[in-house]
Amino acid sequence: MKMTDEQIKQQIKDAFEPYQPIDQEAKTRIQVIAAIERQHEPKRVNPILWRWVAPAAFSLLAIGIVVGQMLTPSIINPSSEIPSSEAPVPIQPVLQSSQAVFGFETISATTLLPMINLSDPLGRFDDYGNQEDEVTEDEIAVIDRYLRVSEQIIRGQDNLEFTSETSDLPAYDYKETVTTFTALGQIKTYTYYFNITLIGEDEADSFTGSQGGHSDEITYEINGIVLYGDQTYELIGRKVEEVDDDEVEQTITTTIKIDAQNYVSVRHKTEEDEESYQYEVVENRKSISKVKVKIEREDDEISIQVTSLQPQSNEQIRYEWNEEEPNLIEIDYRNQGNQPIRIRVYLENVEGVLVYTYEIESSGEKYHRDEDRHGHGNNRH
Amino acid sequence: MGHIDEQALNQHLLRLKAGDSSHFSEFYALTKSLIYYTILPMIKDVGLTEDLMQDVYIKVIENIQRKTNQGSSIAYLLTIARNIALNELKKRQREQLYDRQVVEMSIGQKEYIQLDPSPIIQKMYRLLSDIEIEIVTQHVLNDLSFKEISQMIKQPLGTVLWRYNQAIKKLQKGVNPHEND
Repeated sequence: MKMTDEQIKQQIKDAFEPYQPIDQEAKTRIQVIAAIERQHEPKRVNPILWRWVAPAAFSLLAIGIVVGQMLTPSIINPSSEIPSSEAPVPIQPVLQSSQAVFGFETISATTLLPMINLSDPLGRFDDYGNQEDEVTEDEIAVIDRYLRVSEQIIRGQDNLEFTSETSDLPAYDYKETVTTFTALGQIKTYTYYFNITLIGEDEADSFTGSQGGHSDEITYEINGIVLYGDQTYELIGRKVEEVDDDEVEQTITTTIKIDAQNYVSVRHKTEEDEESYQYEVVENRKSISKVKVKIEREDDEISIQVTSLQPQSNEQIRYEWNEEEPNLIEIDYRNQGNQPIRIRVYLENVEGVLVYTYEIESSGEKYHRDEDRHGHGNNRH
Repeated sequence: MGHIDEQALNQHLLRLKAGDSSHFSEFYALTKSLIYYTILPMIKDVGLTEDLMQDVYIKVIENIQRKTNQGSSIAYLLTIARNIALNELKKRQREQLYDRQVVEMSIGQKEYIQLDPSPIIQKMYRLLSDIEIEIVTQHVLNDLSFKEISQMIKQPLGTVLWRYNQAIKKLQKGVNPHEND
């Protein structure tokens, strides 16, 4: 007879029960007090020197950090960050470094490229005109495609591993590889070669929409290529920092191009109370899809809301993760008719392939899509 | 065993950060099990675990000025505990590599489970990888959520969940329910 999860857990608890930490509080306290005293020994600081040297040093450091974050692997420990200033940071982005945001944008934009040229006619927001309390296969394809993007955000930067190497292509100064893992631990690798230019304050143009021309902007631009599988795409990245008094607003934009007429752009923006990504898919120079992916936090829960901005519609998808039920994702979907539809997604490992089963709550209908959903439609059961 | 009150933990860490050690005994009482059950399954040695626990508390103080109010305090504490245990394991490996004989004389008695080898513990160490043992024991003994474990071991949440499920499946296959009777 096979034991249940709970029985296994209970056996482990019982086995470790006899082992309890002995109380070494008094002994430890002496050492801790000594460590605290070492921490609080007065440090000699020259306030005048600090006032004049620090801003200059910070400016140099900021350039180094920004370039460094884009170029070199950085292990960010979410629980032991070094504060960049004394001012409180209003929100904590899911991806905490420019390098991670840039890497994520590259991956997710490449994920959305098949929407161009009808190579995958499914998976883009469209005017399906569905007013009913049901979900079509086309809609499931859209929900599924943005679930993949949302999963990357949810897994955060721990799911991205960066390796910097010496560029072996003369046209580019830098080479970086970003590796990402699927929920089953399978590896996907993206390699990009690029050059970085510090554009400076006055040269910001309209690339990022309304960001141009501000006197307190710092702009960096990346130009290069990204290699994924046997495909090579053009890569353009830009980071704009807008400093207004004590607040820093940061925008990182990445564009992955099949060619000059067909590309996907992603823009990440953090503001005081909001973090979002905006995706635009351009086909034959015409914008065919604009989507806003907003990250919301409540206590320890993170949910992701996807809203179609173009074509303008009422359609909205909200993904929710509950860590107590790791193989379940719950989705609230509102279609064109503004009908609320509840969908449950069950994740299952079928012989090493991650299978997503979408179950529509109202009808009980099920749709299956495997992990490699890229361009293959789905299997309806 | 059991989940820790993170709010209380935050308060204690803030006090320690400000140099106030007057509530250290409460802080110690709150965290000792958490730290103990992080190190013990990794080190598999009761005596050495007790020694390393002190190192953890000192390291917590040494790093506390760099800790911001953001991020999980539990993850902060456990990352330090885990790193100290990993360093100890690496040290042991190096010592074993360079002088097996000396190791046997010096820490040989402490090596390998001074834990009572109950069937489930034996099977855990036989069937599971190190990382699977960490995930299972953190979830079961310290009642950590998968998200907290994922922050601590710096692996994606999905990978942690998958590894946990794999570990439980292995144990289900390898454990006879009547073996402990």
